[in-house]
Amino acid sequence: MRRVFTSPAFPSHRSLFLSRQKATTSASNTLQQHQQSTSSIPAPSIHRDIKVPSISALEKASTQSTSLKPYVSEELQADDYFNLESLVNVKEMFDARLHLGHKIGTLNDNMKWALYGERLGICIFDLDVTKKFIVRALNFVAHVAARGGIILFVTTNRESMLNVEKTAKELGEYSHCRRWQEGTLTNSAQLVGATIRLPDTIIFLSTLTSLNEPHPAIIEAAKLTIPTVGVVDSNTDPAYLTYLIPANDDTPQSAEYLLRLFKEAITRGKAYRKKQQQLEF
Amino acid sequence: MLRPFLRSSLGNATRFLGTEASAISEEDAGAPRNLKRIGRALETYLRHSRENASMMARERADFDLGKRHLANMMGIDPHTINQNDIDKAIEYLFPSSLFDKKARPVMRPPDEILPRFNRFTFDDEGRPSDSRFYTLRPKFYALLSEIGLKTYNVSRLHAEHVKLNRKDDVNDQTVSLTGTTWINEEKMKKKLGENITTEMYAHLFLAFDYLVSLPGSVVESEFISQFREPLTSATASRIFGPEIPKVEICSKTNRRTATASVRVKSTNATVTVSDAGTGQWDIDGLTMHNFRSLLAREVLLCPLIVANLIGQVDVKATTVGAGGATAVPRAVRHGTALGLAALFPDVEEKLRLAGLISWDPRDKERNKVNQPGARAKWIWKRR
Repeated sequence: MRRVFTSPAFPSHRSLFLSRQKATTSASNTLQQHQQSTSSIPAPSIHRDIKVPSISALEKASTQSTSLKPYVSEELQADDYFNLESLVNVKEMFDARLHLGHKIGTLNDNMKWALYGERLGICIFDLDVTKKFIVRALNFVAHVAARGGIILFVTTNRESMLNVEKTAKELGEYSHCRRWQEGTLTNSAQLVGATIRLPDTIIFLSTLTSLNEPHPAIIEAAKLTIPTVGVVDSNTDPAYLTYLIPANDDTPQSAEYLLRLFKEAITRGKAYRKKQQQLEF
Repeated sequence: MLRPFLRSSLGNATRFLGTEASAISEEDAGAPRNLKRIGRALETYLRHSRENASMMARERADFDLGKRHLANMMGIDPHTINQNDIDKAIEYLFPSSLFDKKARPVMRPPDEILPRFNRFTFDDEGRPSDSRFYTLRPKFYALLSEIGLKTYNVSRLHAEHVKLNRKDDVNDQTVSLTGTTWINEEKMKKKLGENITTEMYAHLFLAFDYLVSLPGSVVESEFISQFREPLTSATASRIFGPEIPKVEICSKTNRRTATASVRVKSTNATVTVSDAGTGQWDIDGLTMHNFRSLLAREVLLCPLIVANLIGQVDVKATTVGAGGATAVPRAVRHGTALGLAALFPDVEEKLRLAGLISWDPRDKERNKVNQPGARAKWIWKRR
């Protein structure tokens, strides 16, 4: 059975973070302005009140995960804790060609929800939907970075490959843009020769291989419950990906734009972590 | 306790919180939290690393002790015994006629022969230091990416050069590769310190070959030369066939030459082949065109045609003996083929398959008594 997140309206656990923030969309802002606004992030609290759920509450949560919401810390409940929404604007997304999909004939049924329509036989993404999903994914990635998680960037696109590797290196994170050896995640101890720490989240900047098949790392990550962020084009199957970004994944411009966003989100997360560590020690 | 809660409430989103959260539940909330808890994976790795280090120290001590024993047995001073002495002693004490040299007994420092422990560098949170760590071959893929970047830079520089219509020809030149070859798979593995497959090695040199073929690749010659080594003749002992001559470098012209002495019937020839030539012939002062017979010319050119090197080498030959229009070209042909095999080891197999490397042992058969020739008989006549 394939578990497919087809509709954004379907309340999954992801919507916990984003249910409140709807109408607070600011007009076009540039990146410089947002960097100033990072100072508006609330100072991290030293002693968080952590409530532990009772066994009966946990049992109930197995069927209704939202019942655990009161136990989740405040910063995780915030929709956009790192103020990332102001980074993203539709004009820039349009200029980066994020709206361009593939030909209609190649459209995957599970990607219909993200489309605005069709022009000259080409699928066009609804950038408002894309924006919402980008902010969601960026918030998640920033939280991972804020907790010292290992982030792995994966792409199969040859044009943006060197850029991805460079960005990952600059961030102190990891990249995998080459042939995926079977079992890299699931059989890592055998392949590496030692038990290693696996990535805590994987960001797919393209999810199809050159044979138009889903990237083998998606299934491996799903087996190990490693959360994934995936840029899904109109011809890809969004199955098994945790956070979707419906957008064009084929042009270097779009990859560069998305990388810039991820870079800023991770930088903010890491800055937060540094601040927190300084307060604690 | 907290781990399942976080899993189910936030799903995958907070998987990484596990370590921190369990630390809290153990030490009670409110107590100072140890964020720098070393993960289990890292602990296992560190244990393996320690075990390997102690094993290697033990092996090294054993080797030193064994060396002293060996020196005493062989009557050598234990302080001055070197690896060469050890090899000789082992060969003497354990004579082996096994064909493969790798199968014969050896005594070498443990660092050379024991499998290397993969040393990864992690920080105190268990994060690998290499950004391409999860590709499993980080150094190999880093090299591939470096080649990719250099290819991009070379083509960009050349495009600029063409656009500006500059006259300096540095940006048009391809890197000079004469006299060198790509390092082989084994050496590449050693250089990278990683185990790569033949497929990966081929992939690497596709990338290198493309970079080398670009106009303007001369600007990256320093980088490229790290992965090339000088061509050497096949000096390894050969079981069959004549010896391939040694390559010498002419001190004046700086050209590589190889000289072979060969014999065909009663003709002895000394043939010198030099690379980076223009296709000149000098056979006892004659050029190829002084040989009027087309067959003789074909015979002379044969090795060059097979090796696809016409016009790229010079041949100088001197002959002694009774040979004429047939034996002299044949002798020169054999000498030329041996010289080419020495200068360009990759064409040796081609030449051998064409039958040009092996010596032609046929000789003139002696005349028999009571016969006009070796086999011919007088016409039989009844009285």
